[in-house]
Amino acid sequence: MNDLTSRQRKLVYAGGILMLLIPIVYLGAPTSEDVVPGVQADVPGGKLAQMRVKYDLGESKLGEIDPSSAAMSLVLLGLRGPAASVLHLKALDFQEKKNWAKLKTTVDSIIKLQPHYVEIWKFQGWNLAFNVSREWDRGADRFYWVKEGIKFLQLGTTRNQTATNLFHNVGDFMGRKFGNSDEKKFFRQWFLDDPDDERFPNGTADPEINPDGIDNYLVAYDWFTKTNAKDLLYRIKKMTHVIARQGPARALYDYATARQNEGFFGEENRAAWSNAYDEWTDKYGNDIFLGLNDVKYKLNCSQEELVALAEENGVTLEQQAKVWEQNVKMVNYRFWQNLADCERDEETVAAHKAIYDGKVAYSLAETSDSQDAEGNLQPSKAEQLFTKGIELMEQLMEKYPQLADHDAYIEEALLAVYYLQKIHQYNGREFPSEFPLKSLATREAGRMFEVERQFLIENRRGFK
Amino acid sequence: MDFNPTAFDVEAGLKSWLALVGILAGVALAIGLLGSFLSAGAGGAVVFASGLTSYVKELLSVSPRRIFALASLTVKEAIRRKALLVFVVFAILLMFGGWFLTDSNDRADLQVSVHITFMLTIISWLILPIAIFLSCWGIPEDIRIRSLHTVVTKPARRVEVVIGRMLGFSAMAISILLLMGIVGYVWIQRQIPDQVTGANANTRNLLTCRVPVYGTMFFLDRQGLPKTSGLNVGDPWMYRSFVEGNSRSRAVWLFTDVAPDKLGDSLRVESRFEAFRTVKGSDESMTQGLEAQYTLVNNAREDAFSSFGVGAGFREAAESLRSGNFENAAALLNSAAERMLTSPSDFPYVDCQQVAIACELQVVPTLRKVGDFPAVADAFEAFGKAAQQVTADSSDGYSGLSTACATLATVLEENAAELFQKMPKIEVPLEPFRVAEFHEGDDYHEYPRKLTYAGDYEATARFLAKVVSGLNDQGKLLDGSDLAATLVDDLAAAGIAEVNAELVEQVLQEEIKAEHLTAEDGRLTVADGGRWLTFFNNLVREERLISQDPAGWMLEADLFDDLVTSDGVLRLEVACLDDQMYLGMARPDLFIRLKDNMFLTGYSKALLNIGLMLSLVIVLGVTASCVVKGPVSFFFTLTIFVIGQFFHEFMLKLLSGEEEGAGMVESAMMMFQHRNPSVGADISEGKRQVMEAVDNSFLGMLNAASNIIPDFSTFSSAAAYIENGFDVPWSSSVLPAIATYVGFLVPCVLIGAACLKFRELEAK
Repeated sequence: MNDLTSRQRKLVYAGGILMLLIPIVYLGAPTSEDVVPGVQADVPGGKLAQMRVKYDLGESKLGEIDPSSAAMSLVLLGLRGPAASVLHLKALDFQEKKNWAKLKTTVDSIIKLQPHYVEIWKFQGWNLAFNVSREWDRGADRFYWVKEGIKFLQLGTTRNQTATNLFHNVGDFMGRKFGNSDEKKFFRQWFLDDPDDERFPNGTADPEINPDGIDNYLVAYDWFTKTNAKDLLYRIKKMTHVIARQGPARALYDYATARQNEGFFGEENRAAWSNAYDEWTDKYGNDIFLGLNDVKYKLNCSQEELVALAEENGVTLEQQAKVWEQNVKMVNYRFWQNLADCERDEETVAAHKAIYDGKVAYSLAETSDSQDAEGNLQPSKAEQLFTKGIELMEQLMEKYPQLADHDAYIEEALLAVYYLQKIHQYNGREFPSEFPLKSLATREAGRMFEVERQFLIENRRGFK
Repeated sequence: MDFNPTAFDVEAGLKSWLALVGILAGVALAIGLLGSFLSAGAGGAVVFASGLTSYVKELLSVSPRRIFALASLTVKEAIRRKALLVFVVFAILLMFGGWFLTDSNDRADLQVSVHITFMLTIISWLILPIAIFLSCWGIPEDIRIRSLHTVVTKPARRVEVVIGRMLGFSAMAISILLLMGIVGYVWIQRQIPDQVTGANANTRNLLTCRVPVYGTMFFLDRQGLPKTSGLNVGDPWMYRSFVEGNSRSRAVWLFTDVAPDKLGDSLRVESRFEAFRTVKGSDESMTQGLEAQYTLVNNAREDAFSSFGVGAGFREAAESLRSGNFENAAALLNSAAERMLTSPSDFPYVDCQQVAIACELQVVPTLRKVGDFPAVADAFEAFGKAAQQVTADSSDGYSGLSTACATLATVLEENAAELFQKMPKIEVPLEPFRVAEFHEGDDYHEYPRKLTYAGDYEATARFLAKVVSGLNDQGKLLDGSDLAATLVDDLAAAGIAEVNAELVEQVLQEEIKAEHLTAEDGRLTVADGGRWLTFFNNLVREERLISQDPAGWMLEADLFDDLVTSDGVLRLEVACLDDQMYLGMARPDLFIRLKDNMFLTGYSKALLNIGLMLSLVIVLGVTASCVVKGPVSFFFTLTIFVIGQFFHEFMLKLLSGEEEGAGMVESAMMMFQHRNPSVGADISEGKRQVMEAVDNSFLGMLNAASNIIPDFSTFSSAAAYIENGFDVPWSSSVLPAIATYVGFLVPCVLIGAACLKFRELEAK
């Protein structure tokens, strides 16, 4: 022991504390940016705080701060990492043993410990929406877990404002999972009218994922639009940029297609196709991207613009054209442009509608020939509609030859021909040797197996 | 939820406990004797005997009053050491716990288990450190500050000090536990949303304790043959196995001791099955789920003959036996007897062994239980033994088997009508339902005691035979030599629809006319002297009694009188009705639900288990502190707890071989050699033997450790029950916890008292 008295020792300690405070304040004093992100730093703060602001490393810069998350990290002292690892293992175990309540709680605990670990948000969001949902049997339960996964991702976007990929994922899930899964028929309805009537009565949607009660593809469009806005600030990672920015336009395409498949052929749907065309051509097409060797290009590019961009990039016109052409092909730009252009055409709508109505008539067994008052044989309603449909389809393919190879059109047309053949068969008549779309049917004979399969599916499950 | 409750076997537990304590006592005495010789030389034996006598006397003169005084002193000391500060931490956790829990699941029902888990976890994990600290530091601190010196000068025995310490600390821990438990109970009630507490109208109270009665379970495959497990659909979690939809595949549960005094006047069944689809399915099944159906079965023939056809050679005969067509079975066995001599390869060795096992374990015991067919039972027994004689290498056994088979066929033929009469099959299919899957408690169904069902051929024949023969016995069937004019009314009074009653009257009239029935002395008899059951069975199978009522032959069965066997067994079969779909189930997935207990009941039992766990930790801590100092004792107890809580099951898996891998030395060697367990270490045979010997000795040590270290997961199992809305079962959770506690308490008290008695208190 030393010779200092108790008071002297205390004074020494106090002096030591003050000495230590000087570098701490110099380095670590907070800045006003730490409190309110985005404001100019009235209080410049310590060196570390200034660097944090300079390099966007502040917690508040990354996204909303969750007090419970911060509390948990503090309570665990330095054991946050091991605790998160243990929780990951437990989450896997709960999932394997189908203990869903505990899985969700554990996942929530993990993200409280690691709120800015973007891959965890992506992985668990996917896990809940795709893996856990399919473990459940009833459609409404699956829907619930898809929502849980999306809500989880949405929370991830609020906690991680700089993670543009998360915004893209939310848009992707909103569109793809609800609109393209096995359960899409129900999911799309439930997206507007949630099946949990206790929590969402009177045919309302779950406001957390669909606050405006609109179509899932339109919500996806909003999220992709946000993604593109974020992308300008924090560039999206691990995705080809020219593909990543297609989101809003493709959501509008999917919206129009889905509505059409559900039997909506009015002006509203033509307008949807028109919107998709505009979004693709005017917005997406006019975005500036960086191609090979950082050569700037845009997809919707006139010859003059090509020349101007070549000058700006300092490359030859051929090099500029090559980069442009490569990317136009890569994203199939012209095809999508032509498709929307074709689909907003009244004749196309009429062709789709005739075939659709024909299928409805077929499913209602309106397939038998009848006799009019004069005893003449009248073809059934279904036959009339399919005949009209394939005639219009033939005209369409002539009008838009660039779409004659489009799988969806070919299969729709061949399926209509197949329905027509079946109707002839039921009525004991031979199918005529000459019929509209014959050349297509001959050329694409190899697809008939798939067409027959589609016919069986539609008839077994009911068309609508 | 994946628990599989199995009742604790008290007798087996007691036996193994006595054996273990005996071995430990022997080792302790040997060490004591050796120590005596080492310290006292040749007089060691006398010293040992004197010490032992004194120790035993001390044990026998324990005073509850002194123990109580020491225990209360311990409590005061614990309070002085600010043990109650734990409540501050508890309060903080409760205040902020809601932050972490409320939003975790949108669905209120999923929140229930989360809140209960949270509460029970924080209660046990907050008190645990206090229990370890207090118990491990108590006695060493007394020795250090010499307060124990004062105590031992009083007329207080050292064993009383040990028990007093254990009791005092346990009382302290349990008081804290009780207070926390009460606060926790109120917190759970307040935190859990109204929609699951039953506070709102039309909502089910999930905060309750269901009381299940579990049965035993087996499966029937798609051919209806019994199997221990169903199909594997590729789920890595092998807990459930699956039955195929739209096939003969079934999951069968057998419940014992089913009686009205236990169940009341209804059958309440709850299940939680898992669905597996190979195709998307119809819109209806997608929105509502797969369809399942229960069938209550009382089928003596199934009980007797279900395994008889496991071997393909005897399958046809087994099918006839199961369907009650004993004459046909006899014919098939006769044919088989001939073929056994001419074409023995039709009855391979494996089939013969399987049929021998079926006869020994199933057919003969069941027939003897039915009791009326000693000759048939003997014939099956002889047949089974003959089948057992068939060997893989020689065809000598087939002649004996052929003889036994022919004898069996003869006996069966002679007793066919009687067997059919006495071995009924009653199958009552219940209303199909949609499987709720993972919605705990949604698949709950209550069935009345009297069950109405559409009878199959056999049930219809049995019912009509019973009604008509009853009327015949009462003399109501005939009026002179003609059928009574009131017959239709009498049949209707027995529960037969009027149109069907008229049909029965008409058919009986035709049969009298055809002289298949004869009227004598005001009674009707079957012309060939046959039984009414056989008579009606033939009529039904000839389809002459097809129901005129569109609902079919609606029959009534009494749950306890008709469906439960004489020894109280109820058989419930579960089928999946959807084609190309599968339902997965495990034994605890279906149970008979008795009257629910209050949530408080299960919660209290869970707290009791936590209390026992804390008390056991204290017992271990105090015992360790009698030998070593506080810090060592602390780490010792903590280690024992951690191993017992988290690694006990792993130890047992290692010992049973369930956990794959090599021994310690072999594993180390393989790591060094970069080899995997499937090829093993690259060493000579001699070295391998040495290595295995060393590894076995480690395994022996592990075996000893697994017996000495308590399995703390026994105590935490109670929480899993109430988290999932079940009452904590006495036999599979509370009793094992009590037994574990008492099992360790007794030897620990003895060891602690001995160590404290024979140690030098001045050695700080």
